[in-house]
Amino acid sequence: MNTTPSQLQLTLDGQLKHFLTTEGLSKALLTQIMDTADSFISTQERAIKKVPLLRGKTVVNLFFENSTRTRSTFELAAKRLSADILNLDIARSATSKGETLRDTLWNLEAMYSDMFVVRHADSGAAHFIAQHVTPNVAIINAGDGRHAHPTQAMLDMLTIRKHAGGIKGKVVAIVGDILHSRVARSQIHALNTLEAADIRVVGPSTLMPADIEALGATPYCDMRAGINDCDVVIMLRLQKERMQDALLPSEGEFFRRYGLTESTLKAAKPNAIVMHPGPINRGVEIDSRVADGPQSVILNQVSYGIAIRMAVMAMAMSGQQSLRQTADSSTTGDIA
Amino acid sequence: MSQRIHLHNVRVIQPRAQLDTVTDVWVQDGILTGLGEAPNNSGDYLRKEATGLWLIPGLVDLSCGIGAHNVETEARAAQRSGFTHVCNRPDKRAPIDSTSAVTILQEANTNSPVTLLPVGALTHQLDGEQLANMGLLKEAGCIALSQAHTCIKSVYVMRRALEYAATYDLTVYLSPREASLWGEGCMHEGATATRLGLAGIPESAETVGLAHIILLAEQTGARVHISQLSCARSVELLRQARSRGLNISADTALANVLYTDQCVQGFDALYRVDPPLRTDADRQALLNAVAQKELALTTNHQPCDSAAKLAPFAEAAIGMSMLDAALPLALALVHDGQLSLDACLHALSTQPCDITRQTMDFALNAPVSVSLVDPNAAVCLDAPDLHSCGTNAPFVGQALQGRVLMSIHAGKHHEL
Repeated sequence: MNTTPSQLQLTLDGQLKHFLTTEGLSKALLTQIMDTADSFISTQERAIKKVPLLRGKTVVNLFFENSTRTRSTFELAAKRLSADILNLDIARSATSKGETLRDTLWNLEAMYSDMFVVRHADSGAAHFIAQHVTPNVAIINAGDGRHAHPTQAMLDMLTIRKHAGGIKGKVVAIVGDILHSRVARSQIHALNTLEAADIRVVGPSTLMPADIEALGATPYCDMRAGINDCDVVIMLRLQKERMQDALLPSEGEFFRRYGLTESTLKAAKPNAIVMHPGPINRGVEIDSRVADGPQSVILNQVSYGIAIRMAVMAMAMSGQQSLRQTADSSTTGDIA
Repeated sequence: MSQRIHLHNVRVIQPRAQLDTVTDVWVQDGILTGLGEAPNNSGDYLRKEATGLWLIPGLVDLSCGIGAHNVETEARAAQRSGFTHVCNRPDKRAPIDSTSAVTILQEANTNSPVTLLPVGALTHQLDGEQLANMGLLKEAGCIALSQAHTCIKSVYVMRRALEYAATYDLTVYLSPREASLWGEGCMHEGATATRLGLAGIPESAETVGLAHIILLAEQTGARVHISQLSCARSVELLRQARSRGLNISADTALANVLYTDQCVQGFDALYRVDPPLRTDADRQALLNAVAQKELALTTNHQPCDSAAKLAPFAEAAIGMSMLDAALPLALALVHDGQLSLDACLHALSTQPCDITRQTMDFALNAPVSVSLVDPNAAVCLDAPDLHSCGTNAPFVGQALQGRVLMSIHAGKHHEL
């Protein structure tokens, strides 16, 4: 069997060298990511926002799937760390000319890139690149198929920590299209490690993955029961094509059964926070009065996105550097 | 020059002849000339000490994906595992839907140590729509027809294909599958697929397809063989059909009795196979059906280029290269006590021999197809040791037992 993603992303002494998934990372490491991000939040409030941690390093944004928003936050994060950044829209370049994924990446590696930020439609793509293609380049997973979106999950954890008074012991409901959601999977792993008391996934059976309980989440088909007494309600985006796939009858019925309104939110704790990874479909999964209301922390999530991405980029680069130093010193030792 | 061999003190395991005894065997040019009792000219035979060795019947593989250009390498891999007959299934790239395609295969198989049994396409280019020239394919030498790992989307076409095949008394190999439920799935739908975010193939994608096949086989009276069952519920459906009196054979792939969907952890594309690896309960149910002689075993061999598996899981090539170690892998189940040797040989030789309608007797003065096996010899194959052109072999580096030392088939003796 292959190395699991969680083993693959750590150095022998437990430092992050890639960031592929939240699964299998220790509580200490997840906390370190949030602490590091917290320290960057303060730098973002200064007039001069740049720090020199990645000066002289080249970060390549490899987006095999379009995503202006996520790509922009990674680009900004890299720039604030003083890295050189190259944006590659692979969907429209090399691979469409018949070049394999491996060939494309080897070419980029040969240009002395230090870090790839990868978004790909296939689950396991970032893991595949880290394991089989360019092991000496730090890989940051910016979303792979339905598998993982670990930076989004970590900015969500930071949001919960800052706005719900911590994660341990909290009841968290994730609502909507769980089946297709990489965000939900990454959140469930992180919430379990950070000792949330109860993780619930809420949605119709057609949007619920098989054996979701094995991931440590309890499925609910009823919205009010699912968010009852929750500390945190996370709404997921519903893609329009779900109606064509015979997974749902209509947006209207979905909103009626699973949409978050002021009325349904009353089932949660009075001070519960409302989150959404964005972009929001107002009137499909969430009512505007809730999205813009006092319990919503959706805009805070966006603002923490850059800090979290700075944190994992800095940590993974540091892990890679310590690997190289170890390799260099052992080579020197051989010569001596 | 004549080949004569005397195997001294060999354990002759020939279920078809109801033989399991330690004795001496004399074979000349593939003809059994002495069993227990030496032939007149026994002094001319090369004596080989065979204490502790087995003489087993030639194995028959019901489903291999071998292109015409790979026949030589794959035949050597098959021989290494004791196969004397190998069915070559059609595939989209080489659909075997014309007499010339059959001829090319047969020519490639000239002088091969194993007999390649061509299985033709059931529909033109395996499109699942237009019937292939079944009568001509039979004349050209196809022993059966198959839709391989592709779907016939219309149940109407399946009905007509079975009726037409029945006209020529052709066996039809069908892999049960319902395309709309299979969808874009690339592994078993369950906890591992959920964890990895991979699109799942539900068990109903197989059972619904199987129900179609069973009901149409009953209606048409066609000679149907079910290829590669993967789940427990399919075994149940098969039992129900047989209890109603339907004479229908079926097999499962070696991978499905050895591995489960958990092997895919870490996105290991080696374990991307068709049909998918399912749960341990499914694996146990399939193994139990093999033990009860309800299912035959096939290698479902599908060699791939080394680069073909190097892609994200859903993009990686499908299939495993199994021929090089199929016998030691199956014997591992015997050594572990999960399968009796009798059931193992029934699944790999007796049943597939009947399904393919090959004659494989073990009688004095008749030709034999047999392999001499050292059941305890250590086998550990690394990638460069493989005869198959496919390096997509999960057993590479694994310590196994069971080595074929000699095969006797089609009048020739081959030392391995």
